[in-house]
Amino acid sequence: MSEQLAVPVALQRGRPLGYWGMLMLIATEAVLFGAIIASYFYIRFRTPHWPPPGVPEPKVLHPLLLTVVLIVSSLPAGIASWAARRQLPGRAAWGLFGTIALAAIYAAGTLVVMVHAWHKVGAQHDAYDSLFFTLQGAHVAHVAAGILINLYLLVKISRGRLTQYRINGIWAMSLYWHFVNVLAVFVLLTTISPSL
Amino acid sequence: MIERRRSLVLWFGVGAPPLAWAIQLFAGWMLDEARCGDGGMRWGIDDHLWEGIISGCAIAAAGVGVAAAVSSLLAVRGGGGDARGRAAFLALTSLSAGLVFLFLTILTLVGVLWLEPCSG
Repeated sequence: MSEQLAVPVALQRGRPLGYWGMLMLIATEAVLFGAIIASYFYIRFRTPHWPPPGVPEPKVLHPLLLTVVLIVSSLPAGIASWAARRQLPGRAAWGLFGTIALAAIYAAGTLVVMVHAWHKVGAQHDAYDSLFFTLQGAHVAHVAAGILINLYLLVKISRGRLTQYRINGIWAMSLYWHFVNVLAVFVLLTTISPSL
Repeated sequence: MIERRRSLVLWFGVGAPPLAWAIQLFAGWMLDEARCGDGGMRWGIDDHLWEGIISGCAIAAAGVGVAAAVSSLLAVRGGGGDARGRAAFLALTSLSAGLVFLFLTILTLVGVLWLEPCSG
């Protein structure tokens, strides 16, 4: 029903509500991650040894490569948004598929890093571990949510036609995806900062 | 194209001064934590120098924001606004708020240069 109520692109004034709604969500998420990163550095600056004695320094190469893979996924996400707004469902679907595939590589690789770290020290040993798992876990959760929503959009546009409602969805998700990728850079720099 | 540029200038006037103040406050606080905390004391950060650089950038950004608000207000008075008066409202409020935030960034710089770091 909502698909029939959507206003066609030619009749729309300005950007769709979904676009502005996504911007609001991004603003709140930015505050959330800003608070976690600020907590990390607040505690770091007050702690003589960081990471604490007995805790190994974080690895750099593996997370760096994974982050590069995630950042590259902004390209297919942008293509999906561009194609959807020009009524090109095939290209939009390929863009979404590429985004999902690259994000899945990042999510799987990061989970391996986290499980490895968990087996070494766990999250309850000290503030360093708690902050690492909170920050990295929150980011992977956001990537996972993005994968699921992109998958849903991919299934929907593969089965039916590319309605304005779906176009707005892909447009908004593309915004979310670029934000998650910018966030990945801050998360990476924060988590590997003890090794720099 | 001109309308789009005018719109960008208007929104820059709305957003730049408060953002500049917020970033000055947050970055200054983190810098102080790094300078005075047990973890960062050994790094020997020059508090006055870095606070001065951050504050200088914040004052410049807030100043440009106020200039953008003035420019938007002049454009609206010259007939460049919209029929519902939204551009005029935003231009006037951004100028009023921008001046307050510009004043705050300058006051923060005065405090930073006047007070001794790590004395609180």
